[in-house]
Amino acid sequence: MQGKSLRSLALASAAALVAAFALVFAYAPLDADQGLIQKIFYLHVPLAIVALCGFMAGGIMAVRHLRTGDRRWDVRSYVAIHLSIVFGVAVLVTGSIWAKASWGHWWVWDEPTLVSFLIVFLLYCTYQPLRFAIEDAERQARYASVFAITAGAFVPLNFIAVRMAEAYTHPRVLSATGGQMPGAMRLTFIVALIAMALLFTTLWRLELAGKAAAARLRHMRRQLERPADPASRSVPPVTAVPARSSLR
Amino acid sequence: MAALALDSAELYVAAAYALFAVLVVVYVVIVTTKLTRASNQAEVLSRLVREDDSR
Repeated sequence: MQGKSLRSLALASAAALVAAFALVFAYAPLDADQGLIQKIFYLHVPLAIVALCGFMAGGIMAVRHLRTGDRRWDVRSYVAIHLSIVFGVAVLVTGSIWAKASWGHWWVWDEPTLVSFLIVFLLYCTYQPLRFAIEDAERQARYASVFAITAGAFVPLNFIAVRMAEAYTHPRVLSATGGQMPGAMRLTFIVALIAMALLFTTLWRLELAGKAAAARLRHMRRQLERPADPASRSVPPVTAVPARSSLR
Repeated sequence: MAALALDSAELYVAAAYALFAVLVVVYVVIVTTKLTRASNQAEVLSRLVREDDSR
């Protein structure tokens, strides 16, 4: 059942990505100022938005973990943050390519949006070393959740602070008034954003399935190592999310 | 901000989209490989557990 829904989600993501890229290259008009390189924004900005939302979603899942004590929320939070870091790498790489094409430099230190995203990214890069430095599974999950909540709250604060900063050189794609995008560009951007959100959800579900299968494997190995005890010989379903296990 | 010559701009745009595609493909391959290997091993182990129980 879960495999089927994951397959449907993967197909929806693939279709949305194809539609988005078709709109980017066949429908959206060329930007009068930047020309073709503006097309990078249809990739870079949705990736950045989804990565930041993923970090915040990780924080929300961590809140649920601390409130309920259910380890499944910790695993979900971990996977959301892990995936957001991967998306963050893509944001930095695509942003650097755009910067090189547009400004002639791969990186500019006096631009608040770039530096603030780098700070958020580097903050979350410490999540995994911090997490796996703790051996005890319960403490590991609890401390990781506290980190995810604190860092998750920092993301919107950081974003608001940057928006309030005066020195703007980074182009604004979205604003409270909808930015300066014409209709065709806005439609393309929205489709690209939806496609990226679907891709994130699909990859999140895929990695969760991988974690569940690995947990099931560990559970069975422990059972086989133990002396014969028929009462403990239950085989958990493949789709079960690990209840008590390390995420490694 | 002047628009770049088309050749140069095409190169940058192609690089950005290609890098994104490579990143996604590598991620999917790594996760799928791990998932498949774990599922296969779990199947083998669950068979061993059942055989052990039936003895």
